[in-house]
Amino acid sequence: MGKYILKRCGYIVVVFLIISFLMYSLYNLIPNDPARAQLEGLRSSLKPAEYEAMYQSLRDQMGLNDSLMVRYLRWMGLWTDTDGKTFNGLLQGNFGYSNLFKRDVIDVIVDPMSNTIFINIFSTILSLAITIPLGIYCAVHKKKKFDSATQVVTMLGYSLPVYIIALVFMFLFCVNWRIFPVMGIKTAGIEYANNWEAFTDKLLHVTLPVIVMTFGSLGGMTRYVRSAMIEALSMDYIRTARAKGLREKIVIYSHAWRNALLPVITSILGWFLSIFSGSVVIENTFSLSGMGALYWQGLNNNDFELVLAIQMFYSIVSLVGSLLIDISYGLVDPRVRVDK
Amino acid sequence: MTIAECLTYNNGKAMNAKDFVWPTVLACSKVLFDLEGATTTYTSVEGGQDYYDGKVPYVSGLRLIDDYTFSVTIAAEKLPYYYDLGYAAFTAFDIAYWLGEGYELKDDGEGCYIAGDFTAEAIKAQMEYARFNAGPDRVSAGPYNLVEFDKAALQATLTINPNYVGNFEGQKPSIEKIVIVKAEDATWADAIKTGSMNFYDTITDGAHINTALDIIEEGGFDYVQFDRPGYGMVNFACDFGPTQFVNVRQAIAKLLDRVEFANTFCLGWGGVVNGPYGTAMWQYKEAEEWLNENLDAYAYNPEEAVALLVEDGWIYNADGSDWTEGNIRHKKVTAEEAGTYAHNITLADGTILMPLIVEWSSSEANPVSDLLKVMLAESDATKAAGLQINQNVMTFTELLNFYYRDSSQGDKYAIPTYGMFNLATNFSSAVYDMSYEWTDDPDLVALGYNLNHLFDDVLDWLSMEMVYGVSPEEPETYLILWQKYMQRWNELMPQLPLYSNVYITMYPDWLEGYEQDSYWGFDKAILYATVAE
Amino acid sequence: MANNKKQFFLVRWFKRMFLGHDQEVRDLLKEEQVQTPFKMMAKNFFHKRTVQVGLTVFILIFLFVTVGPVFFPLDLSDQDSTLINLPPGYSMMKLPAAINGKVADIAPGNTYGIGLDTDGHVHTWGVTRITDKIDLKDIPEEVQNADLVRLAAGSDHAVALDANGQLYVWGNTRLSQNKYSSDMTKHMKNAAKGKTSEEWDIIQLEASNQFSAALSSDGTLYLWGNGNMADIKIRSKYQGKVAKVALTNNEYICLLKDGTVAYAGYKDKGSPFSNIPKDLKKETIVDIAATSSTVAAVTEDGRVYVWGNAVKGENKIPELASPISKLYGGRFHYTALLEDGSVVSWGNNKYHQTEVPASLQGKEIASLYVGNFQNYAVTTDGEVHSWGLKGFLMGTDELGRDMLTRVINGGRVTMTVGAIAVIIATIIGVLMGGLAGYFGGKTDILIMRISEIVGGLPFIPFSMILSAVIGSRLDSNQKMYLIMVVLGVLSWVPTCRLVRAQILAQREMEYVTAAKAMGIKVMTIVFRHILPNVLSILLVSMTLDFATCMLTESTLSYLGFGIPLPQPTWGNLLNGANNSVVIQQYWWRWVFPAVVFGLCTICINMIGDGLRDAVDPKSAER
Repeated sequence: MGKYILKRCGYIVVVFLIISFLMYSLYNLIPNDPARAQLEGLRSSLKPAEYEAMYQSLRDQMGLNDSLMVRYLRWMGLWTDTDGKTFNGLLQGNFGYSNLFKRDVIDVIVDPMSNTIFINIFSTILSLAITIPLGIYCAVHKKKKFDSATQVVTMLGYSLPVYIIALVFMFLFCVNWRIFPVMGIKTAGIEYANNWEAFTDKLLHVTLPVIVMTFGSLGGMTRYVRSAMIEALSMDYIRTARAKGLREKIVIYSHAWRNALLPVITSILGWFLSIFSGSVVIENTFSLSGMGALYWQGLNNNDFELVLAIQMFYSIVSLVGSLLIDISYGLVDPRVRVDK
Repeated sequence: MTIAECLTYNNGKAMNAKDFVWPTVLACSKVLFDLEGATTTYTSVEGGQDYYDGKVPYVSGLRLIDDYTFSVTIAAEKLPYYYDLGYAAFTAFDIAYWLGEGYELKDDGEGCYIAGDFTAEAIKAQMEYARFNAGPDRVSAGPYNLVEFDKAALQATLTINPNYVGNFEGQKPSIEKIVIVKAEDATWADAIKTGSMNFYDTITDGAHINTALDIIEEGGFDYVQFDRPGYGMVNFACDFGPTQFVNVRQAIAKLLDRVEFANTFCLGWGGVVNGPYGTAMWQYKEAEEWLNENLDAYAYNPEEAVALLVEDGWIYNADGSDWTEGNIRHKKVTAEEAGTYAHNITLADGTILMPLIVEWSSSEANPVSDLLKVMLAESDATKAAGLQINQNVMTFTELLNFYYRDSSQGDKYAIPTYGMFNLATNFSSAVYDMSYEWTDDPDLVALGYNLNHLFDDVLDWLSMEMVYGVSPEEPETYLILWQKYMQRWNELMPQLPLYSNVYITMYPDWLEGYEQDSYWGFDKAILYATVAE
Repeated sequence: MANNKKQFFLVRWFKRMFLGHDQEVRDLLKEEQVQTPFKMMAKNFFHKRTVQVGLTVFILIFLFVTVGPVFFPLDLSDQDSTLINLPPGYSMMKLPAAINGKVADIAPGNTYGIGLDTDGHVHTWGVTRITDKIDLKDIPEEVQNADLVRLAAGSDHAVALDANGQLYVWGNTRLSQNKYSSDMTKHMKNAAKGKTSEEWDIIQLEASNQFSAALSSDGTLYLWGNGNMADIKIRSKYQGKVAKVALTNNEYICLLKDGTVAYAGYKDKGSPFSNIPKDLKKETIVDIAATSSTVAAVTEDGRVYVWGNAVKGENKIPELASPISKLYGGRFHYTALLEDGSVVSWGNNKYHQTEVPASLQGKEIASLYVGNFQNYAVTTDGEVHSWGLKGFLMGTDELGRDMLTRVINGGRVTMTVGAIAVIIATIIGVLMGGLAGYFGGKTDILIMRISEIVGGLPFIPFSMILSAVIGSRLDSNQKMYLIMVVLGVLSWVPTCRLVRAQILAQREMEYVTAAKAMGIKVMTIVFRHILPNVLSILLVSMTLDFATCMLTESTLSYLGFGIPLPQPTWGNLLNGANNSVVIQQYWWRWVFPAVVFGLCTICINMIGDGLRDAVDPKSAER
């Protein structure tokens, strides 16, 4: 097992390097010349020859004349900086400088990341709390009216674009019933008396986005739990258990559900890993500042250092996540040997 | 000029004349240029040019007289100027906050200069910090302090500045706290209905105005209505491709039913304009009838459009034969006219044919672009006329890069690529100064003047003469020149003006005394508003 | 048998798959009643209720979007400012029962009608809602009580005149539709006191796009309303000489008392109507009419002249059997009452507004009312015949386009994108998965790493950069291909994993070992023996991917990288409804696309589920 994990880690490094290189070169496709931008103001005051010389020296200074590979490695922190001595890249903890926010990327990310995690934790817990019992119930009572109705309703959340669901829910909950505020992560201009107040205010603001997110994800998870449960219920040991005269509840929750959990648990884990990534659509619609909205803002404003940093973070999360899923599969189900 | 002695910054620090003068010295210096700021201030202040060129280390036109008095001398060639009062506009900034410690404005008897390490590198970091900083340590002198700015959420919080002594009329604000948020197009109506927002400054879209008025009818809100001091238009690149020919520009104007366009787009909240003016301008109000009589409205008329094209020589097919229906028109052009235009065809005998294909750069998610695409680019009349308009959807930044031909963002932008851009403009103040807008000075063009690249002596002369040839006491002379300018502009069609709309601002009905108009914006009007008892 | 060998293996394979075994095999197995697995699957599949429903609905939708465009062709330049945001329904010319048979006057508005019955009651019909708060149906009390003599209906407001010379305006009054001039207020005050004057003896009342006109018998023309678009001023030299007025969408033209036509407005060069035909100067004019962008004059001897922007066929006057006695204008068409009593109509016929019904023939017409796309003819025995635009099945959008046409044509694009993307993804996925699964070892490691890399490439920035680099040069068709390819190229990874896993499992099966032992080539084993066994599972994932790709298309539209407008897709139709106002007030703009889209994905999922159950016989027993 240890060897297997080590091997996979090796792969992760290689794959990460390739992905990061691909992304880096992709962003470099977009025409952008920081040297020229910096010199633009001087252009009219310099003679063309002077300008050209200054431009070229600035390019050298910024390392723009180096090959794409060198620039990439430098950005990564595997090649010496333009001064030729120090390393100052991603691996050294320099995530770059956001042109849009005029701050270091790492400082820019903190707040939106905390908002996104805050929302996602609630949404994940809520959807698990709904989908698992619902899935089990539907599996036990399969092909009954309730089951079919659930299938259609959850499907609805799955087959409509999120922004439509968000606006319909907003109309019902915010405009019609006045339960939740429409936008923002906190009441505009408010000063909190204490932390508890701040927390409840934030909670009130994120409830509707959480409901919308949950509604959108019901379809997939319910179906997953349901089919895993049906599979488990069809097994012989269930028949045996029933034959033994065990109570139906015990059969379902103690025998069947435990076995159905195996395939479900990996997807739950994958889900928890996705709490870092925010939804552009939901965050834009509810004017929340989260990772999705930030990423989007960066993309739209050509703030590539910011976007690349976020991108790299997501890549690592997803690569490590898939390793964790594979390992957990082995841990949960002793029959599965992942290192084969 | 003498300033009042009671003025202070928000942190209580007293102001003197130096606080008002140093920003102008900065504006006259090359340092600002190196900081990527563009200005022509140095050309209007006497001695500014010399200071800018580095010939002398001071601005001779700016003098400190005593702690509260200073003087400015305007360069002789910049007078008379119709809006000469604008030369006397000075704003106070705290030098220590903006440039850092160790800087001071000095006047040794020959003119003002900034003492200290006054170079771009030295001040850049502090300037950037000062610009983007929000919080209690921000030093400003306005009626409100910026205490919080969340750029990711686009939300700013302003609180009243207790040290503000009032505007020119001595007016002080009374609203304690203002939170400015970005309204999402999709949800603003719900946000207002539920009280998340209670003030919407400048609603522009006709459909949005109708929604706003529905909400106002339900109670709790009031509104003011004012004309837009600007207009929406299609900009042509007048130096390359088919749009370099005035007949083509006029034909495009005649192929678009602008009346129907404005009906659909403004829903009655706005009208069609035929020149570079907004319906809010006093010039327009004075000269409305004259404009009606003398400007060509280019009423929708595909037949006349075709006639204009034929007259200009757009009568060939791609192979050089006479134009036949269903094809794109071509014109025989000289190599100079052909320029960098991408679609040119060179025949075997060496004649260059330019096809009537206009590359249109349009910004994304923009209802004007969508409507133009439907009504102009896709219209049967356009196709029947042998004109093809290719829509190229891009981000607004990208559009501006192409529009400004901004090579600093990439070499491809420097090459003229698009013939048409849809944009809108607002005249932020009552100053209608179009000088240098039609200049043929290559330096100024490179700086972003004359963005239509239309080099017309008459238009250039009119635009300069209108403000630099008229003293403020002669509004009649000014108006005559203004009308001539409009007429010439209208003939040359460097832009196709589309509409000038009516705006409304909705505010809660407990706000009293809020009066906004085209030139008296939220920032000024809010000072007079009070909360009703 | 010899023949069989020559057949291409794919043909045989398909035959085996759907028709059962080759003859040779069947002969061998004749004794046993064997059902092929595929037959079994097909039986399982088609016998499920959900599958039947899903398949039927899906096929119906599929036909709807593939055959539909033939009947509802898409016109990308389609747009009409008078038909914006109309709800679904066919009520535009449906007169209420209460007024039927006793029509005194009809004022046809843009999308609605107002009628005055012989008892003096006012009725409205059609689409009367202008905004959430403004509805022309809400006739003010004072209007209902007044003794009305004249009615006029504009784009969003209605005007009425009572016997006491009082004017009433209701509907949209936000843009000074009810702002009378001081003269008019004065006259109305006098009239209320019972003082009548020639200056305020209104003989004609008209309303158009947010402005109205009233003409008194002494030739004075009163104009009021929204001056932003409309020309609501009259040159003094014509004032007092007007005999009749005709309103276009934003302007007007006058018939003077001396029998000439004059353009009396202030737009001069700006107006296409100021250009009165020269021939007309010699004629004596008896009637005028206007469409939204042309005007027409009828001469003494019943001939008609049309000028203005006649781009919709307004000037294509048919051969007339007899001279025109009265002329009326709609939005793009004219309807004329001839001296022999017949009705003739010409101009644009998009909404059948020029198709005079045959039932009108031989009837004596008492009066004719024409407005926008509607025509009403009242016969002397009180019958009302109407023709023209009744309404839209699915309503219209923000540019006045028919939603039905857009939903149909949008579906075609969305489904094509989904289908092609899935096919690309499946082909790549099967190839890669097949190779990885069968060969294992280094190939497997390599392919799995590639799939990890591709899976790690984020879709949105990828398509965004592509659009930034090449996107702006693409038209909507090319963009559609780009999206299909990008979607396909980036979404093969799950298919690849699925196929690989299946093949890993199948590889160990006895039949593969047998095939290997017989010395059959590796490639043949993978694609001829193993793949058919994986195919069933593949079909399931394809159907589900299809639904996902369609959803991705809608997200792309939201982010601005979708297929650009005006080309409709389900994605950008839904994106057009991404606004709380649309969601709450114009439900038809999102409900219809959402329902069709939702139905489609649900059906695809049902078919996919059915397939899965059919493929896995165990599940059918459960």
